[in-house]
Amino acid sequence: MGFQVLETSKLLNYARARSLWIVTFCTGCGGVELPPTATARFDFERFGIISTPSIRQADLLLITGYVTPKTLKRIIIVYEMMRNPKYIIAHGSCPVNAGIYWDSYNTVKKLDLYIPVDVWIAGCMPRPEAILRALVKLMKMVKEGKALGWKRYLENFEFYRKNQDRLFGKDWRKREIEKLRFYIHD
Amino acid sequence: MALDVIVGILATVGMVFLLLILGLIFMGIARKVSARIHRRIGPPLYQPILDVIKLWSKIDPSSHGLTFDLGPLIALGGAITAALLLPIMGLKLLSFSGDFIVLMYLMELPALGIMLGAAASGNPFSAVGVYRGLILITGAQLPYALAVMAVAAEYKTLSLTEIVALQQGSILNWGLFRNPFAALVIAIIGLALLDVQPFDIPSAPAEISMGPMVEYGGKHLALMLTAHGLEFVVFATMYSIVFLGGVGDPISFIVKTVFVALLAIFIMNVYPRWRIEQAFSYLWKYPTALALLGLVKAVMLGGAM
Repeated sequence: MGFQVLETSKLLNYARARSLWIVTFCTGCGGVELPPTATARFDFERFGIISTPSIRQADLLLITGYVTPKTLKRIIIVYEMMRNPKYIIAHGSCPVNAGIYWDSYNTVKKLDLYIPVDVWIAGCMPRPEAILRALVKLMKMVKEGKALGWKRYLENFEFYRKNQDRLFGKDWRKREIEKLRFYIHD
Repeated sequence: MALDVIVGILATVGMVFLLLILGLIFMGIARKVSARIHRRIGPPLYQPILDVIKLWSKIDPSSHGLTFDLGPLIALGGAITAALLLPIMGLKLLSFSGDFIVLMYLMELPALGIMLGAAASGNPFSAVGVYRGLILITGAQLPYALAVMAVAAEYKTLSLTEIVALQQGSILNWGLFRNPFAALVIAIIGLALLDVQPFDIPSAPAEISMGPMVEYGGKHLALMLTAHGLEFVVFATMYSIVFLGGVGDPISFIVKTVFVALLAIFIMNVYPRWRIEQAFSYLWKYPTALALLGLVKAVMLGGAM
């Protein structure tokens, strides 16, 4: 995976910050807090944030709940399909340290060993105000060019890959592709 | 002579640039008005411009071959050519004696370009979206062609410039009052051409995740958004020219096109999406019948009131 150079200027960073598109993908129970954040009372479209169903068009991945290894595989695949620059917000106590599932055998406790997270939100559940605060913080980071999780992922890909392989076993990407083979046309 | 050519080129480039920006602002108006209808605050009017800048600045493009790359370009090219055919504010850039019928076909080029590119991507959602879009276009063709024939029979010309000239004088000379059937049909068909609700079947976001657009991101999507906004403006301008007495000066241009766009936005926010067979049977029943009525009226009564 080669390094890519990102053009930066004030205008580009401002446009990036004011137009974060969220990929519609919710894990766990935190997804229920997103409709209130999107609708009339809190309305994140004020900041240019919309949710898009297509992964290729999205900039922001929200991880909204506890992460099992099975979900984490999908999260990693979705994250790698998104286009750079891309950002992750981990939302709720569960992605931070597995929350109430702290002693579960099947919950990922340290999410940032597997994917780079830009902003964390604590709380169970975080209310829409907390989500908006995190979004505004991410917008500020993007505007200043400090949200560089995607770059960390490229630079330390060997580290992340080693951790992923340790959790899922070697060749897990190939096995996932085999499962999707039926849906792929060419 | 050389000066004329230079002025012509400058006017063309300026007009295209103006219409591209206006198209994005129209999409901003659509998002803002929709937000207000939902009782939200909504994004600023220039939000689609920021979206396009952001999409241009994305790195890591992924392509599925030449056809995939050409799709958005065909869409944008069709929309720009259609825009240049319109007599706006006294400028007649590509006008000729049969431009209405050419415009009618160019209006469908953006959808076809996007479908051509999407079919090359190999994504199952794209395939379903393309299939739905082609069915929708087939359904829209018949009433659209009949309505265009009704308009042509009404004015006995296919030139947009002459159509505008024939509507001058009184407000009762407008196409809207001379042939209300054709006006209604083209308004309905416009919703299908612009891919907005209740006809947003090809790109149903909640069912087939944007349909043909699912594999497009980054610069491809920026081109597509621009083409879509431009198509919006071209349709609103075409409607104002043919049925609302023309867009001779900047004020009537803005007022009439925004009026048409607002009508489309209100309809878009009130009606939910149809299933494909509902839309198809609707298009071949009511708009077709209305267009036939309009054609009969135009042929029997001619240009008379």
